Amino acid sequence: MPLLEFEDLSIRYRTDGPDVKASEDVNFEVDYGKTFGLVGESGCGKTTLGKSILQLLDDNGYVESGHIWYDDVLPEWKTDTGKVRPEVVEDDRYPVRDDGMMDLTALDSDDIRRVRWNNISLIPQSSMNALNPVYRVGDQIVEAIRVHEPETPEDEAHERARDLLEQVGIERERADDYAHQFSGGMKQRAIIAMAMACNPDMVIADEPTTALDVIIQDRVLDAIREMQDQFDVSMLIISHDISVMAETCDRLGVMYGGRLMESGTTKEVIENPANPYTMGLQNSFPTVEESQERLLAIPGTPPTLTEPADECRFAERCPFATNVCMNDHPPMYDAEAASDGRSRVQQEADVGHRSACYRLDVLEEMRERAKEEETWQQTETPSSS
Amino acid sequence: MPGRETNRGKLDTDRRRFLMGTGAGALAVGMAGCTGGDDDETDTPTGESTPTETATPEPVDEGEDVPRGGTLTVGLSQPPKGLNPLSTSSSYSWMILDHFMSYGTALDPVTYEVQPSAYADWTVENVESGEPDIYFNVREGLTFTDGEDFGIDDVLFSYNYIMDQEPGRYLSTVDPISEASEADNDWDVHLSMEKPIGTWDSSQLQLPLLPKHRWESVDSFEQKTPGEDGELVGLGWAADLSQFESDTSAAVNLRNDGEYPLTNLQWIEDHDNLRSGGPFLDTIQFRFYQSEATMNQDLLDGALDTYYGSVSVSQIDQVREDNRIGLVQGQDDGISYFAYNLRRTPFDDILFRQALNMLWDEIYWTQRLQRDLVHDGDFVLPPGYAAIRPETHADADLLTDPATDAYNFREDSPGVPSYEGIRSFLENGTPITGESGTFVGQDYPGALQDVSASVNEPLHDYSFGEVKSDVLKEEGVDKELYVNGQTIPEILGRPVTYLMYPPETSPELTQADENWSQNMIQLGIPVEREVQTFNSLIGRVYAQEDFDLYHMGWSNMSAFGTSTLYGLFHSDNADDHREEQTDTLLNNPMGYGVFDYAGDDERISSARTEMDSEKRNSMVAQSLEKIYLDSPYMVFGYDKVQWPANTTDFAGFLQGIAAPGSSNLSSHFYNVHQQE
Amino acid sequence: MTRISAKYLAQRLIISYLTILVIMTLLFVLLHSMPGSFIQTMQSPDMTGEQIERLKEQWGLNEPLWKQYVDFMVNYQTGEFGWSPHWNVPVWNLIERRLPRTVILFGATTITGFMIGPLVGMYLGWWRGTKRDRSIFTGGLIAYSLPSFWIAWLFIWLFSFELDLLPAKYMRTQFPQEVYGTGFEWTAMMAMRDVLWHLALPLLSLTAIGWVGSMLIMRTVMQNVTEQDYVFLARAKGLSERKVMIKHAARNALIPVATGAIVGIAFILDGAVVIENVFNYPGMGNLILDSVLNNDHPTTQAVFFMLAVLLVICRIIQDIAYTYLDPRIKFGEEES
Repeated sequence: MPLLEFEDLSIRYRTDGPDVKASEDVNFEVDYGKTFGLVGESGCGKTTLGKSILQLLDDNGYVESGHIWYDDVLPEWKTDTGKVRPEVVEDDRYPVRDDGMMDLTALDSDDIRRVRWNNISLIPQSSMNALNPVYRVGDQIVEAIRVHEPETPEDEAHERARDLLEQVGIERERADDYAHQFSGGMKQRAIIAMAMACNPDMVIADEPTTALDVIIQDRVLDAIREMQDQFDVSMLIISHDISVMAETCDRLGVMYGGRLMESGTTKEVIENPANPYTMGLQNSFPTVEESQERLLAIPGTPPTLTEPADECRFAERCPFATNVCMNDHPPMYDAEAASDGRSRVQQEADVGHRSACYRLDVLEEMRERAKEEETWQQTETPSSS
Repeated sequence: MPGRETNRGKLDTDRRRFLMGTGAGALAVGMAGCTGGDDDETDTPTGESTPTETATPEPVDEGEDVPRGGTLTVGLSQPPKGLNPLSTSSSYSWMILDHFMSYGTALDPVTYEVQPSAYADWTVENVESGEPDIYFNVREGLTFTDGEDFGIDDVLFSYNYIMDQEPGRYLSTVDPISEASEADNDWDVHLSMEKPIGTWDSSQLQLPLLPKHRWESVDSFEQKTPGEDGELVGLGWAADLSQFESDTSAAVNLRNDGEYPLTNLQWIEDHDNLRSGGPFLDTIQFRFYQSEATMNQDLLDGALDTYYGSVSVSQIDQVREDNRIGLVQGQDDGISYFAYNLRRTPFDDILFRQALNMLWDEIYWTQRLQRDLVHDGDFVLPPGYAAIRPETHADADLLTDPATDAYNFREDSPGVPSYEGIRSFLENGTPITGESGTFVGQDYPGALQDVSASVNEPLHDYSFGEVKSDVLKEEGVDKELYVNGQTIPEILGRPVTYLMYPPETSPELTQADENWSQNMIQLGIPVEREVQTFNSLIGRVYAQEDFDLYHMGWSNMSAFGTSTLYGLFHSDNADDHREEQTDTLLNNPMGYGVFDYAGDDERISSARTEMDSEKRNSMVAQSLEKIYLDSPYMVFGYDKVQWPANTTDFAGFLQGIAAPGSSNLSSHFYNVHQQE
Repeated sequence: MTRISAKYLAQRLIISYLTILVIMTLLFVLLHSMPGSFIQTMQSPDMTGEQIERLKEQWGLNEPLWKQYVDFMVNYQTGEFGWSPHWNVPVWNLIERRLPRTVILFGATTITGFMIGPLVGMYLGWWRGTKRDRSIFTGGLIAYSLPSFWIAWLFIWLFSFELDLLPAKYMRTQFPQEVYGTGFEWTAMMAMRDVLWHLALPLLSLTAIGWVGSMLIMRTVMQNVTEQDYVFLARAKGLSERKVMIKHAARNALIPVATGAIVGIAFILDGAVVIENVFNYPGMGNLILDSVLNNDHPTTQAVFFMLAVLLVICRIIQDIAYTYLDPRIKFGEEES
């Protein structure tokens, strides 16, 4: 049962020239209680997707088309029993579709503000600097609570803040400290505690472990997992680090050039990648299970998202690209079916294992060759570090 | 008022002008600070009498009853500097103090004769002994402003208190007095003098008369801050100081019941121009300003009836257009001049100085640059003090007698100096010494009085030859002046240095400087101009005497001449650098009197101690003419003073006196009254 | 709670004290190297050398230089500023009378300027790049580049001459009896209203320019702060835009602006000289000008001394204020 569903989402950034196509027709779902990982190189549009959920795009960013469906509605659109009121579903003026899901992209600024943190909270990229230096850490958690639950008394909110800190392993009295008195890991955990403050359904974690050393990374991941178990939240983790994803996520989506290239369960994507990009990406990271002798980088640079060519986004760097790849970006195909020899079964809905690649007909051959170093050196584009 | 026209006053005034030039809002005025109207101006909007060169005082009709009451509001461009009559020398302070202070004798503001005031009569005996005795009688029936009776006790207290306390302002006045006591003859008071003082009746008899009951408990005169502690009491025509805020305003109520004895004296009643029975106004209010521009604006806006000072060139058109305000014509009490350093060759030579004087284009200055708002200058005493000018003593026309024009601009055609004439004047070596003759094409009738210059021969030989100096080469001059066979740069090590103010403080004067130095260059004298701010000029000139020639935009002079002559032209007040380099700030930087080739020490000293005013005035007049011939100064202008006043609502202003809006402003306070 | 330790404060005070001593010494040297002694303003041409000597003695000028220096240092530290030869009153009287006026005018200007400037700067920084930002920013820059006296004249012309709304000189009505009738007595309320009414025009003129400086700083800092992650997080937390801007962005951007304002107070006299002249406002600016131009050394010395002390005090306050405004900054506390 999906909690959040991306439907054909396209996001643009206005610039002086043509708009930047930060994401294009993205479809995926985050299920209740599950963790979805969005992985890809920097600049692939994954952070944009994360921000778009809560309408937190930069001033020049906008949703061009598509929807983000969320399985809840604003309180006043519900009946006393907590059901969505039928007239809300029927009336076109409300962005609620028949199954009771609400389109987050269609909410006005006051309404989306009520969704923020209360329903969906966020652990921002570089959360080391996400605490305001001039306020006590505890007060910043209290602030979040009191915005969405103004009826909560001040002291109760403070107690809750301390409880939350304690749960992420920070002593209660440190709530009175300022951010600069915290270590990097502590700041990260304080943000995690803050993210849970309003008991949200979902937490978006953007690069939660970047800039932390390996040991701290583990602790933070542990904290995230614990919180998830305890609060039973869904998570959307955004990271370029596929090995972190492998440890944490139930499902993975691989982004490239604003497009979703592959999605499936973590096991499927990691163990049986069905997209050349995923294969390349894996080579460039140490996997947890087997320590590779050497890491292979994908030669070339990520594509520019301003007026991208019609061809498959990855074609330029893909060792397996052929003429067929040059016409259009491929739709999502069912990778299971491809393994069975039915290489062109389209699957737009986020079910099972999917991959956007015209060469699924030679899937096994690609998997074999992708493990060889020479494969990646054949491409003519100069290899980047 | 004794001691008012001191050097301190001069510096104050000049600095004030300097400030005026640099202060926000004021257009640079420089020496044009006090100027008068055009001679041929006939259509003054207020219907004033047509201003003439020598505006004369208008007679008043004593029989006429003038209305009493009213408030006159006066602007002061600076706040007063305290109201302690023993310590302040600020003219602004004295604008208020003058209402409270009266003296033993008074000066007639028109004739500058000494007249009775708090002393009924006086005499001097034993002058020949060298230690004269002064006797005087104290007028009866006078009261202080606080209502207490005034008597001999107060007089004796005042003399002894000031002799004991020695306030700097009156030090030189009480210094020659050895004792002040009750007289043992028919007179009231006896002053024993250590030496004769020429101006005794206007100095020793014009000491401030202090109320004993207010001052006897004051241990040190400086501690007293009248005004701020409500303690301003004196013998003047004021009733009280009803308001005093040190930096912004003051109000003085006047004793205008017609019963104030000192304005009902016979000499005032007999006076053609002064009205007895004053003061006539209820109150005089003062507003203090931080800038002249603001003050002038308030005059035009109607917030002021008049102000201390006179209208500057930049503002005169505005004031003339104002229907409420009229211009009171007056004479200057100061001079504008250049001074030469007599220690330096060739400035030590009378012939050279006179030649430079003849290169100064006074027509360019008075007519073109100053729009005929100044007179051409001659003697070092302004026409405001006509009584002691040489013309008066020789029955000649003030300012216009040919004997006052010996150094007129010698020109071949308008604006072009007679270079050849002046060159031969230098080469032939006959200076103007007082003998009649023709000099560079102009007749000189001979001195007005029996005086002649200190020397009748030049000190140096002059010739003109090949140009060596770069300054002259750059200007394409064909001849250079040789003094005793050497060029000036060979003597001085550099060209002549001409010290001037920054051009922005006095643009007109800068133009005149340019003109004069260009004339010198064309003659063959290499000149460079050096810009100095007023304060550094003071240091260069008065402390170090390091100058060839400098100019002074305007400088105040004293009414009797003796202190001016002694302070500015006596060797006592010059540093003699021949033996020792000193840096005192004495006021005779030229060194006039130090050298036998230029000086008049003897006559100046005698005038100082001559107790007969007629003899003294005649000696002063002689000295003035001798200095004119010796030319340590070249006086280049006296302002034609125009003082703005509300002539629509008030009358009784004194036309034609010296400095009507400044040193004689207070004479108006008991003469001015509301219009019928 | 302050994060400034007693030890640090003590150190700071000692250094400040030494700084003042050094400044005093420099002042002494400077004034004694000026050409001419201030005695000259008290001399008259007919004074004898003996009399001049006596005058020097009276003013302590015949003492050896080191003695004069020691006297000066001791007197000043015991609050004895001497006597002004120009104004004929104790120097302290002058300062006592004039300093409050300048503080009232320029204090009010500082307050209004630092109320308006940072507020506008906050909005402009927040709306950076918008049309509103660009036009107000440009307008501010134009005002900033105008000379203060020019603006003052413009306002005097407009509000005083043309509209006759506000008085253009003095700090209160000079002859109230003329305006309100004889027998008029000031009440505290009326006096206050009168002063405020007179203050309006100089205040307006000064503020017209004064707000820009802090606006420029605030705008720039605000732009930087807006990019900070904690501002993003505050927004993600669901706070209103207003609250994000004021509580999270502006609060941080204000730190350099506010601390700058404190030291700015010490530079009050900067504009005082010109503006006090234009508005005929007898404050410290005029005093400093008059005393310098009239060789009134005792007053000059005292005024510059007051300025130095003011500056040093402001620096200490600035340090303390920093620790209050920015919890990251500590002075002299041992790292935990």
